[in-house]
Amino acid sequence: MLRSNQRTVDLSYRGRITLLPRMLPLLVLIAVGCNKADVDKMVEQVQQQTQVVQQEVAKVVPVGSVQLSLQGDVKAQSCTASLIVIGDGRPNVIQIRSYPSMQFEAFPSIFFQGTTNAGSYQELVGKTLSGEMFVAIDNAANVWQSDASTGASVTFSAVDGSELVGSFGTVSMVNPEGKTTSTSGGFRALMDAL
Amino acid sequence: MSLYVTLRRSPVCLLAGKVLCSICIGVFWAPCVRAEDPSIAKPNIMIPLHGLMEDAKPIYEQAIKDDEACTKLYAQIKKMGNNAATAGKAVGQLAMLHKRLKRNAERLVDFGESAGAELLARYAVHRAAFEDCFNNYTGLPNVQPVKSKAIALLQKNIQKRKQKASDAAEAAANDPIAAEVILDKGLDEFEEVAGILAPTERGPFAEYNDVEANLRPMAKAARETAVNQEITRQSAKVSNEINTYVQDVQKAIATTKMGTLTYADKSMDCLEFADQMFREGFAHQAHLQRVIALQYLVRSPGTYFNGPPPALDPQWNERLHKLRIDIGSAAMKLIEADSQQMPPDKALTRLSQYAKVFGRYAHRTEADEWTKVLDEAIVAAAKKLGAGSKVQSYQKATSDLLAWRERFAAKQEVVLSGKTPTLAAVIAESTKKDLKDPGYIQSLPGGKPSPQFYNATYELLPLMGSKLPKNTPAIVKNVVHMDTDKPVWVSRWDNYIYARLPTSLVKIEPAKALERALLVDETHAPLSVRAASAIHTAEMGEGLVVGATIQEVFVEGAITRLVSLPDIAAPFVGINYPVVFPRDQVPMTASLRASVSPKWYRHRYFVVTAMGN
Repeated sequence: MLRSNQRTVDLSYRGRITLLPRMLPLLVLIAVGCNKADVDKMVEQVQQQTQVVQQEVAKVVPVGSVQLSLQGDVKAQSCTASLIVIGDGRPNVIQIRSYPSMQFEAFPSIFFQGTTNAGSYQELVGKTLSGEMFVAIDNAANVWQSDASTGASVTFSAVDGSELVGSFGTVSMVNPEGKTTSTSGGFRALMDAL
Repeated sequence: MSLYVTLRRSPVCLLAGKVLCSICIGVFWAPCVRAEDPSIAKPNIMIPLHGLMEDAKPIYEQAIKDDEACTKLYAQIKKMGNNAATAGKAVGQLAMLHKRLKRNAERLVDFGESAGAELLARYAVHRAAFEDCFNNYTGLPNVQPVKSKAIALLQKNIQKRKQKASDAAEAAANDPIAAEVILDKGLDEFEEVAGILAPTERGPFAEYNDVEANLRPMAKAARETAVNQEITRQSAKVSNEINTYVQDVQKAIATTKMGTLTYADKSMDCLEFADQMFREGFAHQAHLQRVIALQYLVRSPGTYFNGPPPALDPQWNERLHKLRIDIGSAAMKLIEADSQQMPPDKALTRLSQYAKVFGRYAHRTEADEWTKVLDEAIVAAAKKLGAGSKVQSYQKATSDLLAWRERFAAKQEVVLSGKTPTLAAVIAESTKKDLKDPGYIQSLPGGKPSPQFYNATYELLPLMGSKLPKNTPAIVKNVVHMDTDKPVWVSRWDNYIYARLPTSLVKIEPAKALERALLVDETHAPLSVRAASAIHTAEMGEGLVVGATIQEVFVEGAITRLVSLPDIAAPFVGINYPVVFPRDQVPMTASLRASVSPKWYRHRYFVVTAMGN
């Protein structure tokens, strides 16, 4: 399981926390016909527990890096967050990238983009956003994209100095061959100037 | 249920503009004689004319009649009995018919018609048939009395033939084409009688030999001169029209004031003008590609088979390059001129409208040439108007996402393509009888592999049919949508092989998803040409790679395809590169068009796999 006192974290398949075990009691309750209040309470508990775990994940990721579990550990030694405010009535855009700009991309390479109404990094804290996520393990065919039907989600847990801390929810990913897997992980991203 | 994009995004002004464009410049080209092309299902259909020279039509019609008559007569002769007189008459007629066919086929080649090359291939079949008939005939009993009678008739008419030869020689000085008519009539009459005679038997009757030897090169040179003159006329017309277009565009931009300008004596909004300028520009591009193709038909009169053709005039390739530069720079100047008096509070809306117009056309240049410079022009205008940061933020918010989508789609394309060969490879392979056979598509000296009319298409197409069972898979690259509101997609002209996709191709949902990803909704248009172009191409089905199955293959004359290119086909040949032919073999070069059914397609930024009905 997680060892939060270390600067790295085991995010391999065996150590990965997935939502399924936590969802099982809820599914059983639904199956046996529990009332709506009970179900709502369970949902809330699961969400809170999930958020706590995600925040824990984010805290143990090294500064300025992003780590995922995607058929094994995927660790990028650079991470940048950009909150892009266009300012013409469109939603703002948040990007989490494993590179400062495309021309300096290294592999593995990770990219998340979602939209938000938050106008500052601080306003993102505590929010969960959905968006598109890509992971290129290498420059060959080992590329993954978040499932178009479910998308990817990210939860921001803190602004820590010049860093934005957060974690990816369990994201269903698909590769060019159509194979699917799930990923989760966290990041401590250096924030671009607004 | 499947949804397709067809007319959904086409604004009324676009349609009106296309109609106007057609009226202004679209119909100048002489209508060609286009008909159905031979295919695997219908291999006997004759290659149509392009009709550069009107004189080709009666020659073509006569040649088709003779081709059919040869086939019919050969079948009849094969069924004939041993009556030497009856068979002799038929063999003599076959001799006349197949030789007349050859003369007319060569004339069509002089006129730059691929139909002539096809008819020459058919002539070779008829000549073999004639030789078969002739050999059989000479083995028949009682042939000698028939031959003697023929020789006697030829002797009787020596003076008549001398007179005809003299008439033809006299006419040749003024009008070699008319002189050929006199000569050919005499030759046809002669051949019907002499066709059953061996060379030694007919040798003494050589009244037409001298005049024919003199007249043929003269007539051929006259035809080639006429072709050269027609090409010069059409090229000059296109050249003048392009000069006028470029000047008018420049003048119009100079009149820009408060978002409007005057073009062709008409006041119009700058955005309306921008769209019209591109549309007209691409119609001129199609004209120019036709002119470039025509240059390959220019000959040194009289040296078609005996000497090299003149060097290609480089000016036309340069004109194509210049046209691309002129259109791109005019678009940049337009936005610069319009931004001078643009109200800052309207700047974002106005610039996004420019991005949308430019996005309809920018993808047609290679390596994002126009996309890059026009996006820079939009940013420069935005900066002047205090909206630079907004435009740059938008571009930052969309560029990485597009790059990632492109990367993923490219990998998906590789997986979906697998080991499926390209359309060109599949078709080239299908023209080979066996492993040793070089096939129909061969490299000529100094040229890329190109299909040639080596054999009659009715011999080739059944072979292709046996090698290409229906639904043979192939990868079709560079699929573009024609400049029309109709659902017509083709793959770009590529080494004489291309595909036509006969049904609606584009799915709407991925285009909508791309639009959402690029932060576009009913009130917010793209703020970059790159994004606008991504959405436009997704909606219209531009620049696709398509995994398809081959349904049918058609044979066309390559020059026929290009000379009869409609204005809407500008994307078919593209604006970056001039069309190229094997230098000496233009009418001999075929073009193979496949009709294909799409199974999946890759847009630059996404892949669609479910292509069922």
